[in-house]
Amino acid sequence: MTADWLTDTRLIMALWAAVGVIALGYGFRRRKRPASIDRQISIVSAAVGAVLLMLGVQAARYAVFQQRAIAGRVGIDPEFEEVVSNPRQTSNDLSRPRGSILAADGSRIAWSQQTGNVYTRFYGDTALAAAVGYYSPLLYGKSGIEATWDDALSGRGGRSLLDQIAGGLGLSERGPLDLTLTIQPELQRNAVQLLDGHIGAAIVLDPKTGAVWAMASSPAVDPVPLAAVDQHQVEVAQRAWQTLLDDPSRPLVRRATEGLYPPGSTFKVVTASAALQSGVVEPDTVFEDNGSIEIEGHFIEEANRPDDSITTWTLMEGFAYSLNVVFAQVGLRVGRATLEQRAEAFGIGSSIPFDVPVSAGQIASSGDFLDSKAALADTAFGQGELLVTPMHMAMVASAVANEGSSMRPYLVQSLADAAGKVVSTAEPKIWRAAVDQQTADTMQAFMVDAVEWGYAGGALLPGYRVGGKTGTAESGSEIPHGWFIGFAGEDDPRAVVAVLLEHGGEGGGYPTEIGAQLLMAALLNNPV
Amino acid sequence: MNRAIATIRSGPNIVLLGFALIVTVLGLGTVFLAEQPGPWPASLEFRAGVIYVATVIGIFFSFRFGRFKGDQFLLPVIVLLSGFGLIVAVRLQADLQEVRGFQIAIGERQLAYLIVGLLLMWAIAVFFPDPTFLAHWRYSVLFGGILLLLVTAAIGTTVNGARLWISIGGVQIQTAELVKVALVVFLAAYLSENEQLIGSSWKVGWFDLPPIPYLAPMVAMWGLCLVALVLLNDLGTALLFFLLFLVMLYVASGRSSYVLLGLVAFVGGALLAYYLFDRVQLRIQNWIDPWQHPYGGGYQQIQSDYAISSGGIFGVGPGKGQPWQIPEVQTDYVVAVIGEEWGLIGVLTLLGLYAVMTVRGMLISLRAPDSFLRLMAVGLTASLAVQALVILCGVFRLLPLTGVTTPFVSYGGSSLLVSFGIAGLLLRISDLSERRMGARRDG
Repeated sequence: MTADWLTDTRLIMALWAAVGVIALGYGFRRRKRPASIDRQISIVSAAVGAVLLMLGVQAARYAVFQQRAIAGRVGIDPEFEEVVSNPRQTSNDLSRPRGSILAADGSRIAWSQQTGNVYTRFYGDTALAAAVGYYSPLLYGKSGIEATWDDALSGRGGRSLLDQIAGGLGLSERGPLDLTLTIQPELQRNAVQLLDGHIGAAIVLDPKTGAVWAMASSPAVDPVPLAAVDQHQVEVAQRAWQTLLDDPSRPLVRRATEGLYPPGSTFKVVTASAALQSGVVEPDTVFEDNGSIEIEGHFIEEANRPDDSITTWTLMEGFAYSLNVVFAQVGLRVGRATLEQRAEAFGIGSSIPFDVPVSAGQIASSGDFLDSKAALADTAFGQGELLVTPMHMAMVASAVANEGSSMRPYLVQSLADAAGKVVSTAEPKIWRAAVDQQTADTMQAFMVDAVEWGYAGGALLPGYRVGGKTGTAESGSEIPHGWFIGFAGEDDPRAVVAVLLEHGGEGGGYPTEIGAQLLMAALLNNPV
Repeated sequence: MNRAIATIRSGPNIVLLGFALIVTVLGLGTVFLAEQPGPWPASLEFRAGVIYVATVIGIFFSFRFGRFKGDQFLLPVIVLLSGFGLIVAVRLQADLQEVRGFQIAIGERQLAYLIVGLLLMWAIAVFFPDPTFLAHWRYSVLFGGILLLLVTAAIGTTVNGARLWISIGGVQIQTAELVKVALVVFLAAYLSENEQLIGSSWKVGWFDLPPIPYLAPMVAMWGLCLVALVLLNDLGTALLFFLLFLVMLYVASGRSSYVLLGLVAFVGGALLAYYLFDRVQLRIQNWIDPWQHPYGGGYQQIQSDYAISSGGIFGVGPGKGQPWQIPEVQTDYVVAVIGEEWGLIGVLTLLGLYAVMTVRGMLISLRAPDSFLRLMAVGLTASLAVQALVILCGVFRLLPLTGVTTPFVSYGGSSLLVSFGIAGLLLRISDLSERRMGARRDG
């Protein structure tokens, strides 16, 4: 998974090339002198010095630059089927207490407890446990929050240069820290239940801060059996792991942050924003849609018109009824550069900074794909070569809901030491300015329209202002992926949701239902 | 300024030597504190420290009062290098007995080897006759060396697949180490004898080929290395011999085309070996990607990677790591122990020590009175430097790992004694040069 720099033969070759360059350079400098034993001896010394220098570079890579990747690498021998991991880390992990992971309400999700002479990881509610990743000191290492926050949880100092210097001077001794997450247990359980039996993901977050209230992927990895600490448990863990590997639905992919899908019509939020902000269209600009359009020999069929006798539509109607032919024309009018720029501003194609790794996805796989008008039109309504994670679409909705700014999402609210003293707290930060405020306001109105009289009607919540956009993304198989993104609040949006169901059918169906229920629960859970 | 040089040269540098001894003693003390094997007066750490320091100080005084005029930096460097080796061996002794079921006490033995080695170095530096006489015995030396290799191939003991040792009366000797010195002596004599041929060459196509007197031993050496590779089944020794030969040939001739040609020939031979021998193939595979067989062939390298990277910048502290996790750690992977317990700082220190050792050896060569002694000093220095580079590049993945020892640091009698013998010869040549220069000045 991590690039193995150590085995990278190119790097080894580069280091040897450097030796050659140094020795040659030195040799040329000395060439002016006539051949003599003196000259040759100094060149040989320079060559030895050059190799020693490269050894120093390698040593620094081991000790500093790639320290973590090398020291923490875990692999399975295909022949012996044995797991090989760093015995130092294993024994450290087993012999030292580890911080707890708590939900937003303070209830424990995962904690360590001494069993015999080792520490074992225990879990409360399994619906919540899956959200923190697994912790498997003997076998499979760590994933999710357990991996990215390992330094804090284990109490080891960081491995940055400064941390190491502080550690070397004995300044950074500290115990394991407890993490309090932004995960709200009620909401998380809700999300897990709604996804049960389906393949997909759901994310609920606070658009004002970026705090992630619930994040569920289905199927999920149950961390309980993997936390094995003795031989009997190891056998159980190995069976559980094998089941995970064999499962065709691939539970090890955390879909909320690592699953990549075409966004389908939910991407029209980005296209419409690009069009409105650049001023090439107004909300009431009229487009023709008579059932299909031909662009450079490529036919786009319209399946979404509510009334086939109407052939002209405003942008606002095109958005609410998710008309592909309209958005193909919007895309062409916006042009490639502006669309790409706006998509990047929304975070499409970027690895979003978060407490667990987020796959970057892409706007297009190669630079010249969007040169074709047909490809640009396809991309404008969410197909083409677009790939996003559910987290990306949650960020799109949250930017619209938060006056155009995407807040950096976070899962870890605060760190506390063993005495309960809080040592650090998450500070909400703006990640990207996605669109200007005026466009964001218009997009909010568009999304509210889509719920109130358009195709996202399933998200209607009496007494609240709800905006949403459904998406039905072609997946290469019969049944498309279903999307819903949306926000809700009394007036100003207070909660954002993104739902994806793999081969879940029309986005306006069950995905929208899940989205509506989660928005409702989030608002009730977090009264003003 | 001349006076400054003169005073530095007037006796072994007590400050540097003192520093080397203090580091060694502190290291041993830290190991003792980490392991706490019992009361300190009875501990191996204490005994090793006292005996080592006493021997080194004895040699220092002998040099000082014997008006030894040789190099001042080589002794402190070697004392610190072998000090690291002593700390590592002492530190590994209990762990290897406990975890890996070692029968022998490697700390005790390393201490004994070191003392004998230091005394050997001292004796050679002080009592050895002018090495120039060796030039007359060059062919005897060469055939002696080849004979030794053949005997080893015939009756040698196989350890880990390589046939490197012969047993004489219960004592195991790694013959390749001795052959290495024989090779240096022969090449120094041969190349200095044919010195006037430098510059002459004949052309075949685009290539400047060496004159026959150079080409003949070159081809013979190439063959000898392949023989070593095939009969002894030892890639490291073959590589070491050949690089050593190239260095000496280059220094004597000044022609980089010979080096290029030699390297091409060696790579060709190595490729041939790659296709012919599974063992070589495995070595290369484990170098390129040990994670293909992390529990099989790649295990040792992976454990070493873990050890070095776990040390970070400052190391976990002498005696506090888990170096016994690496198979054959005491010979092949001592630098991994340094990396784990002394950190990047320790590894860089080691690299620096080898750099100083090389530079001092080369300076000794530059000051030597005649071309035989010069080439011999170059060869002796290169034999230590190249060996250090070959094994260090193996551990740090710049080359496939070959089982040569880390000079002065690895556990092992033959290797240590020969290394100290080489250091003794260098000191002897250095002393001789300074005396002759002094005599010339005075005359």
